[in-house]
Amino acid sequence: MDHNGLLEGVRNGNPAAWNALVEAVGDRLFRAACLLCDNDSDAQDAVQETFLRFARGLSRFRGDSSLHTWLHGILLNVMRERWRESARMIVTDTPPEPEARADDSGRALDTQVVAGFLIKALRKLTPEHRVVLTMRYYDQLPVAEIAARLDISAGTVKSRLFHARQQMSVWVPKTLNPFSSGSTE
Amino acid sequence: MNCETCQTQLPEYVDGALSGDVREALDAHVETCEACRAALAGERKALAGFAGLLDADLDQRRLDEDMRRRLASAGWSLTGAKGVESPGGRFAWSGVLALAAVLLILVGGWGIYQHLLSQPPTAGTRGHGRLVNADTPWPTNVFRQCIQIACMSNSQERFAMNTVERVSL
Repeated sequence: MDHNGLLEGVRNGNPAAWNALVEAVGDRLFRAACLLCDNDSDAQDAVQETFLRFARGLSRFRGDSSLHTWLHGILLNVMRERWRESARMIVTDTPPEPEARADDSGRALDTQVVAGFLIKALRKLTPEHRVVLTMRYYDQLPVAEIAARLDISAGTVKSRLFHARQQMSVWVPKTLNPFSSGSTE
Repeated sequence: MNCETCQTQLPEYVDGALSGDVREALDAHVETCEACRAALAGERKALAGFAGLLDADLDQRRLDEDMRRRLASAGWSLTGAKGVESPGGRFAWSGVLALAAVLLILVGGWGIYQHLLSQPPTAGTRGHGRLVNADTPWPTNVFRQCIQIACMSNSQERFAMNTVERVSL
Protein backbone atom coordinates (compact mmCIF):
# COMPACT_ATOMS: atom_id res chain seq x y z
CA MET A 1 0.00 0.00 0.00
CA ASP A 2 1.51 3.31 -1.12
CA HIS A 3 0.85 5.44 1.91
CA ASN A 4 2.61 8.47 0.41
CA GLY A 5 0.21 8.58 -2.51
CA LEU A 6 -2.67 7.97 -0.14
CA LEU A 7 -1.58 10.85 2.08
CA GLU A 8 -1.49 13.26 -0.84
CA GLY A 9 -5.07 12.41 -1.65
CA VAL A 10 -6.05 12.74 1.99
CA ARG A 11 -4.38 16.15 2.26
CA ASN A 12 -6.25 17.24 -0.85
CA GLY A 13 -9.54 16.27 0.76
CA ASN A 14 -10.18 13.49 -1.74
CA PRO A 15 -13.12 11.37 -0.48
CA ALA A 16 -11.83 8.26 -2.26
CA ALA A 17 -8.47 8.67 -0.53
CA TRP A 18 -10.18 8.93 2.85
CA ASN A 19 -12.14 5.77 2.14
CA ALA A 20 -8.93 4.00 1.17
CA LEU A 21 -7.18 5.24 4.32
CA VAL A 22 -9.94 3.88 6.56
CA GLU A 23 -9.76 0.55 4.72
CA ALA A 24 -5.97 0.42 5.03
CA VAL A 25 -5.51 1.26 8.71
CA GLY A 26 -8.93 1.29 10.35
CA ASP A 27 -9.17 -2.35 11.40
CA ARG A 28 -5.62 -2.53 12.71
CA LEU A 29 -6.19 0.61 14.73
CA PHE A 30 -9.48 -0.80 16.03
CA ARG A 31 -7.75 -3.99 17.20
CA ALA A 32 -5.14 -1.96 19.07
CA ALA A 33 -7.96 0.04 20.64
CA CYS A 34 -9.77 -3.17 21.66
CA LEU A 35 -6.73 -4.15 23.70
CA LEU A 36 -6.56 -0.77 25.39
CA CYS A 37 -10.27 -0.23 26.03
CA ASP A 38 -12.65 -2.08 28.29
CA ASN A 39 -15.08 -2.98 25.53
CA ASP A 40 -15.52 -2.78 21.77
CA SER A 41 -17.88 0.17 21.94
CA ASP A 42 -15.29 2.28 23.74
CA ALA A 43 -12.73 1.07 21.22
CA GLN A 44 -14.87 2.36 18.32
CA ASP A 45 -15.21 5.73 20.05
CA ALA A 46 -11.46 5.88 20.57
CA VAL A 47 -10.79 5.10 16.91
CA GLN A 48 -13.26 7.78 15.83
CA GLU A 49 -11.56 10.36 18.05
CA THR A 50 -8.18 9.27 16.71
CA PHE A 51 -9.24 9.81 13.11
CA LEU A 52 -10.74 13.22 13.92
CA ARG A 53 -7.54 14.38 15.59
CA PHE A 54 -5.52 12.98 12.70
CA ALA A 55 -7.61 14.97 10.21
CA ARG A 56 -7.36 18.18 12.23
CA GLY A 57 -3.62 17.80 12.74
CA LEU A 58 -2.79 16.46 9.27
CA SER A 59 -0.51 19.37 8.44
CA ARG A 60 1.76 18.32 11.34
CA PHE A 61 2.39 14.81 9.96
CA ARG A 62 5.73 15.02 8.19
CA GLY A 63 6.17 11.34 7.35
CA ASP A 64 9.08 10.89 9.77
CA SER A 65 7.27 7.87 11.19
CA SER A 66 4.96 5.39 9.52
CA LEU A 67 1.30 6.23 9.22
CA HIS A 68 0.33 3.46 11.65
CA THR A 69 2.88 4.64 14.20
CA TRP A 70 1.52 8.20 13.96
CA LEU A 71 -2.06 7.02 14.36
CA HIS A 72 -1.12 4.69 17.20
CA GLY A 73 0.51 7.62 18.95
CA ILE A 74 -2.69 9.64 18.64
CA LEU A 75 -4.69 6.66 19.94
CA LEU A 76 -2.40 6.44 22.97
CA ASN A 77 -2.93 10.12 23.71
CA VAL A 78 -6.70 9.68 23.41
CA MET A 79 -6.61 6.74 25.82
CA ARG A 80 -4.37 8.49 28.35
CA GLU A 81 -6.73 11.45 28.45
CA ARG A 82 -9.67 9.15 28.99
CA TRP A 83 -7.89 7.28 31.74
CA ARG A 84 -7.01 10.54 33.45
CA GLU A 85 -10.60 11.68 33.24
CA SER A 86 -11.94 8.46 34.71
CA ALA A 87 -9.11 8.33 37.30
CA ARG A 88 -8.61 4.67 36.50
CA MET A 89 -4.92 4.90 37.30
CA ILE A 90 -5.57 4.47 41.00
CA VAL A 91 -7.63 1.33 40.56
CA THR A 92 -5.75 -1.85 41.36
CA ASP A 93 -5.68 -4.76 38.98
CA THR A 94 -8.84 -6.84 39.26
CA PRO A 95 -9.14 -10.47 38.26
CA PRO A 96 -11.51 -11.58 35.53
CA GLU A 97 -15.00 -12.70 36.52
CA PRO A 98 -15.10 -16.31 37.74
CA GLU A 99 -17.25 -17.39 34.79
CA ALA A 100 -14.58 -16.03 32.48
CA ARG A 101 -11.82 -18.27 33.81
CA ALA A 102 -10.75 -20.82 31.29
CA ASP A 103 -10.91 -24.50 32.04
CA ASP A 104 -7.60 -25.69 33.48
CA SER A 105 -8.33 -29.34 33.03
CA GLY A 106 -5.82 -29.57 30.22
CA ARG A 107 -8.42 -30.06 27.51
CA ALA A 108 -7.50 -28.40 24.27
CA LEU A 109 -9.51 -25.24 23.89
CA ASP A 110 -10.51 -23.44 20.79
CA THR A 111 -7.83 -20.86 20.03
CA GLN A 112 -10.39 -18.13 19.68
CA VAL A 113 -11.84 -18.93 23.09
CA VAL A 114 -8.40 -18.78 24.66
CA ALA A 115 -7.68 -15.50 22.92
CA GLY A 116 -10.96 -14.05 24.10
CA PHE A 117 -10.15 -15.07 27.65
CA LEU A 118 -6.68 -13.47 27.46
CA ILE A 119 -8.18 -10.24 26.16
CA LYS A 120 -10.64 -10.19 29.06
CA ALA A 121 -7.75 -10.72 31.47
CA LEU A 122 -5.78 -7.99 29.73
CA ARG A 123 -8.69 -5.59 30.11
CA LYS A 124 -8.65 -6.13 33.84
CA LEU A 125 -5.16 -4.78 34.20
CA THR A 126 -4.71 -1.17 35.16
CA PRO A 127 -4.24 1.09 32.14
CA GLU A 128 -0.56 1.64 32.89
CA HIS A 129 0.10 -2.10 32.97
CA ARG A 130 -2.17 -2.85 30.05
CA VAL A 131 -0.58 -0.36 27.70
CA VAL A 132 3.03 -1.52 28.28
CA LEU A 133 2.05 -5.19 28.02
CA THR A 134 0.22 -4.55 24.76
CA MET A 135 3.00 -2.48 23.27
CA ARG A 136 5.62 -5.05 24.25
CA TYR A 137 4.01 -8.33 23.32
CA TYR A 138 1.33 -7.42 20.78
CA ASP A 139 3.05 -4.52 18.98
CA GLN A 140 6.46 -6.19 19.65
CA LEU A 141 8.21 -2.95 20.45
CA PRO A 142 11.56 -2.80 22.25
CA VAL A 143 11.66 -1.33 25.75
CA ALA A 144 13.40 1.84 24.58
CA GLU A 145 10.70 2.51 21.99
CA ILE A 146 7.91 1.98 24.52
CA ALA A 147 9.62 4.36 26.94
CA ALA A 148 9.96 7.02 24.22
CA ARG A 149 6.37 6.79 23.08
CA LEU A 150 4.95 6.90 26.60
CA ASP A 151 7.48 9.47 27.79
CA ILE A 152 8.53 7.37 30.76
CA SER A 153 11.85 5.81 31.72
CA ALA A 154 12.98 2.38 30.53
CA GLY A 155 13.14 1.30 34.17
CA THR A 156 9.47 2.19 34.63
CA VAL A 157 8.56 0.21 31.52
CA LYS A 158 10.43 -2.85 32.76
CA SER A 159 8.91 -2.60 36.22
CA ARG A 160 5.38 -2.34 34.83
CA LEU A 161 5.99 -5.24 32.46
CA PHE A 162 7.20 -7.37 35.35
CA HIS A 163 4.13 -6.63 37.46
CA ALA A 164 1.76 -7.04 34.52
CA ARG A 165 3.20 -10.47 33.74
CA GLN A 166 2.91 -11.39 37.41
CA GLN A 167 -0.78 -10.46 37.40
CA MET A 168 -1.48 -12.38 34.22
CA SER A 169 0.24 -15.41 35.74
CA VAL A 170 -2.12 -15.23 38.72
CA TRP A 171 -5.29 -15.00 36.63
CA VAL A 172 -4.42 -17.19 33.67
CA PRO A 173 -3.86 -20.93 34.10
CA LYS A 174 -0.30 -21.91 33.41
CA THR A 175 -1.26 -24.02 30.43
CA LEU A 176 -2.82 -20.98 28.80
CA ASN A 177 -0.44 -18.32 30.01
CA PRO A 178 1.52 -16.95 27.03
CA PHE A 179 4.26 -15.72 29.39
CA SER A 180 4.87 -19.14 30.81
CA SER A 181 7.38 -21.34 29.05
CA GLY A 182 5.15 -24.30 29.84
CA SER A 183 1.99 -22.96 28.20
CA THR A 184 0.40 -24.73 25.30
CA GLU A 185 0.08 -23.04 21.92
CA MET B 1 21.34 -10.43 41.24
CA ASN B 2 18.04 -11.72 42.66
CA CYS B 3 15.17 -13.22 40.68
CA GLU B 4 12.99 -10.10 40.61
CA THR B 5 15.87 -7.98 39.33
CA CYS B 6 16.76 -10.61 36.77
CA GLN B 7 13.20 -11.01 35.48
CA THR B 8 12.72 -7.23 35.33
CA GLN B 9 15.74 -7.03 33.03
CA LEU B 10 14.63 -9.84 30.73
CA PRO B 11 12.89 -7.63 28.12
CA GLU B 12 16.01 -5.54 27.55
CA TYR B 13 18.16 -8.67 27.72
CA VAL B 14 16.16 -10.15 24.86
CA ASP B 15 16.34 -6.80 23.01
CA GLY B 16 20.14 -6.92 23.34
CA ALA B 17 20.05 -3.57 25.09
CA LEU B 18 21.74 -4.40 28.38
CA SER B 19 25.20 -3.11 29.20
CA GLY B 20 28.05 -5.63 29.35
CA ASP B 21 28.34 -6.05 33.13
CA VAL B 22 24.56 -6.29 33.69
CA ARG B 23 24.28 -8.80 30.89
CA GLU B 24 27.08 -10.90 32.37
CA ALA B 25 25.43 -10.83 35.80
CA LEU B 26 22.13 -11.90 34.29
CA ASP B 27 23.78 -14.69 32.33
CA ALA B 28 25.42 -15.94 35.50
CA HIS B 29 22.11 -15.87 37.42
CA VAL B 30 20.09 -17.58 34.69
CA GLU B 31 22.76 -20.28 34.53
CA THR B 32 21.94 -21.30 38.10
CA CYS B 33 18.23 -20.40 38.46
CA GLU B 34 15.58 -22.63 36.90
CA ALA B 35 12.75 -20.16 37.54
CA CYS B 36 14.55 -17.37 35.71
CA ARG B 37 15.51 -19.69 32.88
CA ALA B 38 11.84 -20.47 32.49
CA ALA B 39 10.98 -16.77 32.66
CA LEU B 40 13.53 -16.03 29.91
CA ALA B 41 12.03 -18.74 27.75
CA GLY B 42 8.60 -17.29 28.48
CA GLU B 43 9.73 -13.80 27.45
CA ARG B 44 10.97 -15.07 24.09
CA LYS B 45 7.88 -17.21 23.62
CA ALA B 46 5.52 -14.32 24.40
CA LEU B 47 7.31 -12.03 21.96
CA ALA B 48 7.03 -14.64 19.26
CA GLY B 49 3.47 -15.80 19.86
CA PHE B 50 1.37 -13.35 21.90
CA ALA B 51 0.25 -11.26 18.94
CA GLY B 52 -0.72 -14.27 16.89
CA LEU B 53 -2.57 -15.75 19.83
CA LEU B 54 -4.65 -12.62 20.37
CA ASP B 55 -5.27 -12.22 16.65
CA ALA B 56 -7.28 -15.43 16.73
CA ASP B 57 -9.90 -13.28 18.45
CA LEU B 58 -8.98 -9.82 17.20
CA ASP B 59 -9.11 -10.77 13.53
CA GLN B 60 -12.84 -11.20 14.03
CA ARG B 61 -13.15 -7.65 15.27
CA ARG B 62 -13.58 -5.18 12.49
CA LEU B 63 -15.02 -1.74 12.13
CA ASP B 64 -18.59 -1.99 10.89
CA GLU B 65 -19.57 -0.36 7.60
CA ASP B 66 -21.41 2.47 9.29
CA MET B 67 -18.31 3.41 11.29
CA ARG B 68 -16.11 3.23 8.19
CA ARG B 69 -18.41 5.64 6.36
CA ARG B 70 -18.49 8.02 9.30
CA LEU B 71 -14.71 8.02 9.67
CA ALA B 72 -14.14 8.70 5.99
CA SER B 73 -16.78 11.43 5.73
CA ALA B 74 -15.56 13.13 8.92
CA GLY B 75 -12.03 13.14 7.61
CA TRP B 76 -13.03 14.44 4.21
CA SER B 77 -15.24 17.19 5.66
CA LEU B 78 -12.42 18.37 7.94
CA THR B 79 -9.81 18.49 5.20
CA GLY B 80 -12.40 19.71 2.71
CA ALA B 81 -12.12 20.76 -0.92
CA LYS B 82 -9.42 23.33 -0.24
CA GLY B 83 -7.16 20.62 1.11
CA VAL B 84 -4.50 20.75 3.78
CA GLU B 85 -1.15 22.42 3.37
CA SER B 86 1.90 20.24 3.65
CA PRO B 87 4.07 20.96 6.67
CA GLY B 88 5.74 24.36 6.14
CA GLY B 89 3.57 25.43 3.19
CA ARG B 90 1.10 27.55 5.10
CA PHE B 91 3.88 29.18 7.07
CA ALA B 92 5.85 30.02 3.89
CA TRP B 93 2.86 31.73 2.28
CA SER B 94 2.05 33.79 5.35
CA GLY B 95 5.64 35.01 5.46
CA VAL B 96 5.48 36.05 1.80
CA LEU B 97 2.24 37.94 2.35
CA ALA B 98 3.62 39.72 5.40
CA LEU B 99 6.74 40.75 3.50
CA ALA B 100 4.65 42.00 0.59
CA ALA B 101 2.50 44.09 2.95
CA VAL B 102 5.57 45.69 4.56
CA LEU B 103 7.08 46.50 1.16
CA LEU B 104 3.79 47.99 0.00
CA ILE B 105 3.64 50.28 3.02
CA LEU B 106 7.24 51.39 2.58
CA VAL B 107 6.87 52.04 -1.14
CA GLY B 108 3.56 53.79 -0.67
CA GLY B 109 4.90 55.94 2.12
CA TRP B 110 7.96 56.90 0.10
CA GLY B 111 5.78 57.75 -2.88
CA ILE B 112 3.53 59.98 -0.79
CA TYR B 113 6.55 61.71 0.68
CA GLN B 114 8.06 62.33 -2.76
CA HIS B 115 4.75 63.68 -4.01
CA LEU B 116 4.38 66.05 -1.09
CA LEU B 117 7.95 67.32 -1.46
CA SER B 118 7.42 67.97 -5.14
CA GLN B 119 4.64 70.46 -4.37
CA PRO B 120 5.62 74.15 -4.24
CA PRO B 121 6.04 75.64 -0.76
CA THR B 122 3.03 77.35 0.68
CA ALA B 123 3.46 80.86 2.06
CA GLY B 124 3.24 81.36 5.83
CA THR B 125 4.53 77.99 6.86
CA ARG B 126 7.46 79.08 8.99
CA GLY B 127 8.77 76.42 11.27
CA HIS B 128 6.64 73.63 9.86
CA GLY B 129 7.95 73.12 6.39
CA ARG B 130 6.06 72.76 3.18
CA LEU B 131 4.25 69.62 4.17
CA VAL B 132 2.06 71.32 6.73
CA ASN B 133 0.28 74.64 6.97
CA ALA B 134 -2.44 76.14 9.13
CA ASP B 135 -5.12 75.01 6.67
CA THR B 136 -4.05 71.39 6.66
CA PRO B 137 -6.71 69.45 8.51
CA TRP B 138 -5.91 66.98 11.30
CA PRO B 139 -4.86 64.11 11.10
CA THR B 140 -3.37 64.79 7.69
CA ASN B 141 -0.99 67.32 9.19
CA VAL B 142 0.20 64.81 11.77
CA PHE B 143 0.61 62.14 9.10
CA ARG B 144 2.69 64.44 6.95
CA GLN B 145 4.83 65.44 9.95
CA CYS B 146 5.50 61.77 10.68
CA ILE B 147 6.61 61.11 7.12
CA GLN B 148 8.86 64.14 7.22
CA ILE B 149 10.42 63.11 10.53
CA ALA B 150 10.89 59.53 9.35
CA CYS B 151 12.70 60.69 6.23
CA MET B 152 14.70 63.38 7.98
CA SER B 153 17.82 61.24 8.45
CA ASN B 154 17.96 60.52 4.74
CA SER B 155 17.19 64.00 3.54
CA GLN B 156 18.86 66.39 5.95
CA GLU B 157 20.14 68.59 3.16
CA ARG B 158 16.78 68.73 1.46
CA PHE B 159 15.04 69.73 4.68
CA ALA B 160 17.64 72.36 5.34
CA MET B 161 17.15 73.72 1.83
CA ASN B 162 13.41 73.77 2.37
CA THR B 163 13.87 75.72 5.58
CA VAL B 164 16.12 78.23 3.83
CA GLU B 165 13.52 78.60 1.08
CA ARG B 166 10.72 79.17 3.57
CA VAL B 167 12.68 81.72 5.52
CA SER B 168 13.50 83.55 2.34
CA LEU B 169 9.81 83.81 1.32
